[in-house]
Amino acid sequence: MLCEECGKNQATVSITVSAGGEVTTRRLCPECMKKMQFSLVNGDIQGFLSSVLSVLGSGQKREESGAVCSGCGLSYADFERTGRLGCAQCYRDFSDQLRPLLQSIHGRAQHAGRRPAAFTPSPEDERAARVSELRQKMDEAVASENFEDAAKYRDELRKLTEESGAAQP
Amino acid sequence: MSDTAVNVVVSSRVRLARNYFDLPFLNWERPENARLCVERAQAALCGGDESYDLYLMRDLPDVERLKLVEKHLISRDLVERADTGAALIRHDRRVSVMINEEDHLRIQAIGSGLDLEAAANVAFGVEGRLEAVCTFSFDPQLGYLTSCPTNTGTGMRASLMLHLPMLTRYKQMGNVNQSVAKLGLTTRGIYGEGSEALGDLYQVSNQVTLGRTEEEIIEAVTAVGRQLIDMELSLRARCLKEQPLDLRDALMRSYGLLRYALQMDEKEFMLHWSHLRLGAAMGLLPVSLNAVDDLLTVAQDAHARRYAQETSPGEEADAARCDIIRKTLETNV
Repeated sequence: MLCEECGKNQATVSITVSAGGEVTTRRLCPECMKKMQFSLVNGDIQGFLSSVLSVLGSGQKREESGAVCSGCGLSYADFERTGRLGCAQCYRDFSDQLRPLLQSIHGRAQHAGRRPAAFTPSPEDERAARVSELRQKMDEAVASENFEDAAKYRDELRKLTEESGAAQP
Repeated sequence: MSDTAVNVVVSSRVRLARNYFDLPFLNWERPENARLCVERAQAALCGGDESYDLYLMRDLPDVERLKLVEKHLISRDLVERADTGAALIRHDRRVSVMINEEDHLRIQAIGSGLDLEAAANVAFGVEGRLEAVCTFSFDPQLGYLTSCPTNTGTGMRASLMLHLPMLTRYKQMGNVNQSVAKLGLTTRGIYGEGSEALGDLYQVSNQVTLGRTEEEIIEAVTAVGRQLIDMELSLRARCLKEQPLDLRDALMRSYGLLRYALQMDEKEFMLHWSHLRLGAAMGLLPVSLNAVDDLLTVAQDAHARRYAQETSPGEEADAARCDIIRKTLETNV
């Protein structure tokens, strides 16, 4: 079959991206594969990001790629082309597509660093952050075959989820 | 380690990407928003205990913009956005805030030697002064929101500028790049993303900005920096032991050329500069490390062109560069 990137050469290699539980495979020619590796090795984040986006994007449904930000009017297709988001609202409106992307870039999708001095998190924010942190720790414990810790994180997660369910009106 | 680290580490830098919560990220086509970004930063930083100068890119001659790039106070990207780009630069040149680059604000603190923590504290201090009068775009789950998702989270890039001539000579940089990448870090050339490793200078910095604390990021980059310093220093000792004549000959040849050549382009200068720094660090050449590191800035293209304009109009930059180098080497023995 032909390369899914350039559509000209014969595809001889395949690249698989696993993000957000979804696995996407693309078949590429050696030349396009080389370009993708080159951009990563040379620290060309933009080139690498576009490559990852194109892999992830190939698995998106048509209606998703037509999404437009309600804040600045940027389309997801524009973001795929430039690698730049237009405003804070883009993060909310494209969250379904961005979360797996952030996960694949950073390996995690929950902020752990500083907060603005004036920022006061709501109890729901705190809970969501804790859930995300526990999920991450559980995954890492499973990956390193530390099943005892993984079970501990799972139980804590369960407890948090039940508490949240009980708190719902 | 701290004494010997300066023999390898040229500088430690921390930059924070921040955006105002109420404005779209990219203002290249919205001059009124771009102006607002400048005014807010100016109101927060100017007029306090610390003095800052405001540089509007559109008002600066090309050569002056490039001089700021050579001093690592602004990026090439900011120069390309000359219509709206600006920078607030603290008088001691240790802090710069780029405005309307890829994000509204890029706060940068730079220090000498291996001390990312100190640079980070300076950057956080500047952030605090900005935060006192403005609100940044922040999401409890994703952290600080930035134009490019590769910066989301802490928005922090902690980087060490390392001089690694022996790791380069012994062809170890390929392995280093691969190992560093596995740790979520990256190596780049002297002017950042996509630039060449001229003068055997490499920037090691974090790639990952989300899901780690600022302290974890600094620890990771510092740990890799320490390891590279150890590797480089042990190769230097090995080279001096195994090939003393070859090493001294190469260093003295470069020193001779830098002292007596009458014209030299930037690429050739960087080649000899690397030998000069290596010689200064190993005590094999009669020049101080500080003078060598100053040369890295003042003998670059834009500085040489400006020097020629001021001292001998009509002189080529390559000749002016040699004047600058000669004067430095004559007075900094």
